[in-house]
Parts: sequence; structure tokens; C-alpha cells
Amino acid sequence: MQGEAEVARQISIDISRRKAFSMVAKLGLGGAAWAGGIGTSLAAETNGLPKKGYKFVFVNHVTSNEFFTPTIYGIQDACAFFGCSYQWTGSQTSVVSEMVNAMQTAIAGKADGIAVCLIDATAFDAPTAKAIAAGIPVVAYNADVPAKSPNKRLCYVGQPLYQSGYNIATRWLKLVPKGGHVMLSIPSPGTLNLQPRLDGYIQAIKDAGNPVTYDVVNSSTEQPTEISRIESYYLSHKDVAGLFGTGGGDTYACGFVSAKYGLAKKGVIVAGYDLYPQTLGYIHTGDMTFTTDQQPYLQGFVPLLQMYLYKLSGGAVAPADTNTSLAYVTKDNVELYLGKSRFEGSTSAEPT
Amino acid sequence: MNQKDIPAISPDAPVILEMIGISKTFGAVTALVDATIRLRKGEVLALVGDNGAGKSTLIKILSGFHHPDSGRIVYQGREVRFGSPRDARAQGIETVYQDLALINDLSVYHNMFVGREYHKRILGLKLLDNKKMRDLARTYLDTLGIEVPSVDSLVELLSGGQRQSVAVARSIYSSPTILVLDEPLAALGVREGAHVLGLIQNLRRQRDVSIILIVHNYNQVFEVCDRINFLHSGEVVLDASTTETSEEELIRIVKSGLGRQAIAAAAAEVAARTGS
Amino acid sequence: MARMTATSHGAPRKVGLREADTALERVLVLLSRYREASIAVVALVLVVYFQLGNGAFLSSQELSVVLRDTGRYGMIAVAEVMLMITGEIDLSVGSTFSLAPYIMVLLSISFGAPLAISAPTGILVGVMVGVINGIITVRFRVPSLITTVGTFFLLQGVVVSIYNSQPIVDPVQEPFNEIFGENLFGPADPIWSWHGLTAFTPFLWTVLAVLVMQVVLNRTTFGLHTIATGSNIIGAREIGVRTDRIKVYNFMIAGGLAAAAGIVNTTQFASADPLAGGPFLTLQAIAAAVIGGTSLLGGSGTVIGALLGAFVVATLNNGLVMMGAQATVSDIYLGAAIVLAMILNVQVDRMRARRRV
Repeated sequence: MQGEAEVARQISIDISRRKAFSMVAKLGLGGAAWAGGIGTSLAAETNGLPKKGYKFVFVNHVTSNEFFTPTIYGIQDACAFFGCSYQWTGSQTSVVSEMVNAMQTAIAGKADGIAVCLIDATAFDAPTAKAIAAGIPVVAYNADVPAKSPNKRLCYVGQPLYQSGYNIATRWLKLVPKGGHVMLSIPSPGTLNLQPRLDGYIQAIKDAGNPVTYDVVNSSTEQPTEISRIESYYLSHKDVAGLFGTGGGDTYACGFVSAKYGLAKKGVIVAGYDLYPQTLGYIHTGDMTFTTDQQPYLQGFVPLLQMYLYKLSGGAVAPADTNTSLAYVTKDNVELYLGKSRFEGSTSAEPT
Repeated sequence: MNQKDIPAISPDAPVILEMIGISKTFGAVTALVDATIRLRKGEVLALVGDNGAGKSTLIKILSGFHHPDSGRIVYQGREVRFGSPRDARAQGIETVYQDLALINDLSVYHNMFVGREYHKRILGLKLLDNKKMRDLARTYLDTLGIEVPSVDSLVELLSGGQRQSVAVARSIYSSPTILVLDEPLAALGVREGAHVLGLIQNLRRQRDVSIILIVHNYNQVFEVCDRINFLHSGEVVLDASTTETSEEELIRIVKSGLGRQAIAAAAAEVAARTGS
Repeated sequence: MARMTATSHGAPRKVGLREADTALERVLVLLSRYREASIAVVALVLVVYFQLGNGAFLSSQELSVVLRDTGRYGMIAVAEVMLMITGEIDLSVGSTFSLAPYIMVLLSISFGAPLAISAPTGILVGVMVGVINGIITVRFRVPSLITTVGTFFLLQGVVVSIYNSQPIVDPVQEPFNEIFGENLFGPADPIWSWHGLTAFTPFLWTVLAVLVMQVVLNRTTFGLHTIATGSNIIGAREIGVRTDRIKVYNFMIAGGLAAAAGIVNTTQFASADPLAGGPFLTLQAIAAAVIGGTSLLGGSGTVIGALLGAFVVATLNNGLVMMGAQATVSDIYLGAAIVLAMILNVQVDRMRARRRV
């Protein structure tokens, strides 16, 4: 049996190899040659991790949302790697009770591991405890409970929500003129995956000494309505200095309005979250200033990887909190993200 | 109502409808047992009897809604079978049920013409010719002596009597051979009922259409009908013209308990009196 | 024993129809002839309210946004009106709204079909959904509420699984895009120009649909039979109306209109989103139809009222944002406003009905 360190090292090499592949593929430098070189040398030392038919259940709050398409690809790639299978379930519309039911079903069906988006501060505590008691590892991804929560999940994989909002706001506060007025939008007020980001925005503004005034707009969760509401806001507040979204859809809508009325030329700062294809397009054209990549691919790959290791090692290799990074996508590096990639969800084809 | 100005039906008037030996059972319930009725041309025939006696079933068989288990129907001299209400209607038998089948959200004139609308072509499209239907309805209702506030009024705004009259008007518009009315006076007060009775009298006077009437109130039976068929437990227990019998007679038959012997005795008495 | 008291002097009171004497009463009598009058009043009140609250409401740009939303909710509302008149309802319109344009764009991108061909195909898809809804409701006697909830999820699943929830970018094909929704209205253009017109094309297409359905409902045999089916289905059958067929045809109309609305929406934003239409859109459209005067019980309805109702809903959605409703409470205002709009509508309608002859 290999030592843990050896296993861990191998895994980290594998992860960074994948990431390297993606970069290399995007830069078009014939990653296959690279891979061949590295792969051969390592392969000689070990047979690799065994394939195990574990069944993992991923409970999500917006199961059909395009944001999680790369997450599903990450899960699929990890499953193919380790011989596991997965189920993608939960709620389409952030209904917590549906997600709790999905967890209960997974526990009853003796799943080998559960990954869940903790969009509610307390509702998931009971099923999580029940799963842990039954020997089922539970990993949180994309959304997490507040710091002092008694929830027994083993770790959180994702973007630290509140912190990300705080950092993003700090960044755009430097760009917005003092005394200006900005719009903050949120598609579903109160949900744990978005509200902390908004709270982060608001706290950053406060901590900077309130250099700007702001309105918070409920953009709703349906695309055409999001665009209409943000557009109506702009038309009634034409002196707005910044439009900032907290979710993928409303960030796109902010970019749409900015592009339609040429706001970038007027010096309006537009920023937000996630990498909808249209959002990337707006960054490319300069209509949007920046967005953030919370790397949804890793939010699928890493939890599955961690649960696999946990099961394989009998609990010895425990899942660890993973910050799936706070990369900013700006006009300078947007090229890296344009074009079709399985890691961004814009195509299902594997990289070569 | 004055019976004297209405000529009686001649005994030689041809029989246009015979329902002979009709039996019908619904699951565990026997509705009709070997029932026979005859209708002469131009006659107004009353079907009376308690609830469950089989009157509704009999007319539903006539209108094609149900099919008889046994028995036959001879209509205008030919044996017929009505496959569906549309069948019966196509052959000239119109029925007005208790629910009237009126469309509350449509106007009087639209109600008259649903299923037989008039069209006009505008720019190649087939559109409703409302003006024509409006005029035709107005004229027709006038000839029948039916008064409504306006043929544009929604039917739901009419009084009970007006609704009944419109339903009857709709049915006879197509000049049926036989008109069947299921309890036309059931929900009406005295004044309204009088209007409808007047309408039936008008039709009777003209003797153009033969009518079968299901009525509960014996008074009304004698006012407008020529003949009575009394049903009890699925059988026709009495068949007499309104001149041969009387209201008191009918009440006595009912009170006697309608046992078989009582009916036979009563029938024999009527037969002896009229010598038939 | 009661004593007869002398009545006061003055003109004797007539029993029966009272003539309108004040100006207000004359206006009410005029309004009483049209069922849509009540919703028009509500819409007017809202416009005044929002314009006073925020002067930008009646600007051409904001009107373009409000009318765009009116067009979207309105076309779906018209689809619902016809069905609601027959006593049925369709909750799957939201998913047809997403599915039809998705298929249209896929066909164009994958097979190079011009939009002029793939768009009618998309509408055909909507009509087929209507056929399925209709047959299940009529033949298998499933209440349409349940049928269409089922088809909603079914179609939602289909459209999401075609391409893993990814929205696809609509190809740019003129003049198709210009005619069907693309907005070319730039700040430099005068409002009375082709570009200015395109700011309102989504709304204009809906107006066309409303006018066509108005004629169909009130001037054709099909419309007459639709009302008959909803008002008294048993009676209608007795007098020869083919109620089953009428219902299926109306489901087909609903599906086709939902598809058309989705296609116009996609052309506007140059993107076919698998989740473009959902419960929010469906419920707002049904609210628009009901506030506009269509009865949930069947038998009566108005497509013009549905358009006005859609305007009310669109006005509320956008006006509240303009007035500064903050995110945490804006839904409270929206919900309350919808109920108030309906209450106001019912009250005006009762005043109207009292004057009706």
C-alpha cells in the first residue's frame, strides 16, 4: 500500500496536470506531446489508483442552470477517472425542502458520498448529521453555512461567498468616482449562495467609509425579466456610476444594458460574477469591466475526488476546504476563456 | 286557456310514432319494462308519472341518447334505430331537456343558431353573418309571440320563462316533425309558466308539429294536451285522451296505490266509459 | 298596527330603468358596454402613478422596455385566454417558450437552415405540444392543470438536456431578425423611423396576435363554439358543438402562440436560453389574462383585456424598480400590487355590471 503522502502527491500532480493541459490546449501548444512526456515517466512508478464503483450523489439548488454545466463535466471526468458513477439531483428553483428530500433519498439508498450546496443556514444540519452517522461522507460545494454553524459537513469546496463579495467590491470601489451612485442586483434575495455576496458588497462599501450610495434591485431569476428590470433601473437613474451583479444571469443582464446604451464609454463600471458566454463577450468588447471565475469545473471535480479518497482510505484521507479561487477575468486575460472549453462548459468535447 | 277554439285531433289522424315494447335496464336498475306509446300527427301527448317511472328514459331513447334493450321504434311508418342524438335530430326529432342546453354567455340570437350558423365572406375569410342571424331571430321570435328585451341580450340575463321559450324556439326553428319537451314548466312561476303554455297552445293550434310533453302538474296537462300516457315503474299503465278522463280520475288512480289490479280496474273503467 | 305616513313631496320615484343624468353616470354607461373598460382604468391609474413618481416612465426608451415586456406577457396571455374560455388552462407555455426557439436555432446552426424555415418549424413544435396537451386532456380525461404541469417538466427536461443547459447564440440573419424583434433603436435615431419602429416590434407582433384572435373569438364559428364549450359543455354537445375538437384546437393555438413569443424573445436578445421561460412568466401571463377580465371558470374572456392586463403586469414589474423598490421587499410590493389591481378591476367591473341592460 502506498503512503498517504505519495497518494496526495500523485493527486496534486494529476490536478495540476489537468489544469496544465487546459492552459496548454488554449495556448495551442500541442499538449499531447507534453502529456506523453510527463505521463510516461510517472506511470513507470505505480499502477495508479484503483477504479471503484462508488455511487456519489450531488444535490444542487438550480439543477438546470447553465452555470453548473462545467461542474457536471468535472464530476463526469472524475468518475471516468475513478470508475465511479454519480447522480445529479436536487431542486430547479432553490426549494430547500426538495434538496433535503434528495439527501434523505440518497441516505436511504446508501450512497457512497453526498455533495450538497448549503443554501440554507440550518435546514441541512439534520440530514447531514444523519448521513455522517451512517458513514456517508458529506461535502459542501458552491454554497456554505455561516462560520459558527454546527453543520457536520466535512469540508467546503467553492468560493468563499462573503469574502468574494467583499473583495470584488473593494476592487470596483477603486474605479467608481467618490459620491457616485451604484446599483447592486440580486436574483433571489436571501438565498445562501447569493446573499452573502451582496452582504460582502455592502460591508465593503461601509468599511471604505461609504464613498458611494447604492440601490439593491431584485432582478428575478428569469433572463428576459432580469434584463428588463435592470434596463428600467438605468433609464430611471441615468446618472448611475456602476452596475454590479451577484449572480451569473444578472451580471449578464448588466452587461447587456451596458452594451445597449454604450455605458462603458460614459465611464460606468460594470462587474459581477461568473462566465456566461455573453458575459465574456462583453468583457472582450469592453462593455464590462471584469467578472470572476469561481471555477465551477473544480466544484464538481474536487468534491468527487475527495469523497473517493475518503471512501478508499476508510476515512484516513479527509476532505479539506478548497477555495476554488477568485480569479478575475478582465479584458487582458479574457482571451484565455473565449473559445470552446469543456472546463467552462461551452462544449462537451474533451480536450486533446 | 280556452280549449274550445282548438279543434280536436281526428281519430283518423295518422300515427307518426310508435315506441313498441321498449325495455331498458341500467345495471341493477330497470327503467322501462315493455313500454308502448303512440303519437298521432299534430297531437300533444303528455307523459306523466312519478320520478323514476321511466319518462326521461323513454324520451332519451327517442332522442337517440340511449339505445333500448328490446322493442322497436316505428317512425313515419318505417322502423328506425337512432344511433345518436345527431341521428334523431337529423330525422326531425328535436328534444328540449330540463337543463335547456342554452349557452349563458352567448346572446339570444347566437343561441338560436349555434350549430347552424350563417356566414358571409370578407376578404376570403368565412366570418359569422351576425346581422342576418339577428334579423332572422327577431322575426322568428315575433311570430311565436316570444318577448325578450333584445335578441342581443345574453341569455343569462333572461327570466326563466324567457329562457324556456328561447330554448323551445331554437328547437322548432328547424321545423321538426316531433318536438319533445322535458318538464318545460318545472322551474317557472305562474305568470312565466302561462307564457310557455301559451306558446305550446299556439303550436298545438297550428298542428304542424307533434309534441310529447313531460309534465308533473295535472292541471297543465288538461290545459294543453290531447292525450295522456301514465307511466309507473317502467310500464305504461294508462293511455287515454284528455276528453276521456279527468284530473280527479288521475289522482284517484295514484291514490289507489297503483297496484296492478287497481290499474287494471281503473283502465277497465275508462275503457268501459269510452267504449274502446 | 302600522300607520301609513305621508310621503314627502317631490318627484315620484319611478321603478325600473333610471336614466343617466350626471356626467359621471353617462361615462359609466358608456364604459359599461365594454368589459375591457375596467382594466383600462387600472392601467391608466398605474401609468399616472408611476409617471408622477418617476418622470422617466413615459420616455420612449422606457416605454420600449415596458412594451417589450407587455408583448412577451401579452402573447402568452392571449394563448391562455382562449384556453381559459373553454375551461382549461396551460401551464406548459413557459417551457414551449424556451423549447421552440432553441430548436429553431439548433436547426439553423447544425443544418444551416435559414431562419425563415427554422422559425416556422419552431412554431410547429409549439403546435405539436398543444396537440399532446389537448389529446391527453380530452381523450384521457386528465384535468388540464395536471396535464400541463406534466408537460411543463417534461419539456423543460428535454430542452435542458439537448445541450446541457447551455444557451446558444442566435445567428444573425437579416431581414428576419429586424422584422421579428431585433432592436435597432440607437440614441441617434428619431423615433419615427424604421429603427425607431424596431424598438417596439415585439409589442407590435403581440398586438397583431391580439387583433387576429379578437376576430377569431368574436366573428367566427370557431370562436362561437369555443365560448359555447366553456359556458355549458354538456349543453353545447347536445346542440352539436364538437367540444373535444374545440379544446384540442385551442391547445394548439396556445402552443403556437407560446412558441411565437419565444422566437420573438430569442430574436431580440440573440440568444436561445433553455430557461428563458419558466414559472414566473407563466404565472404573470395568467395573472395578466385574469386581471384583464377572463374568467377562471370558463365561458367568457377578452383578448384585448389580456393585452391591457399584460401592460399592467409589465408596468408593475418595471415601475417598482424605477421607484426604488429595494430587493428584499420588491416582491412584497409586486404581489400586493397584483392583488390590488385585481380588486380595483373587480370593483370597476361591478359598477359596470350594475348599469348593464
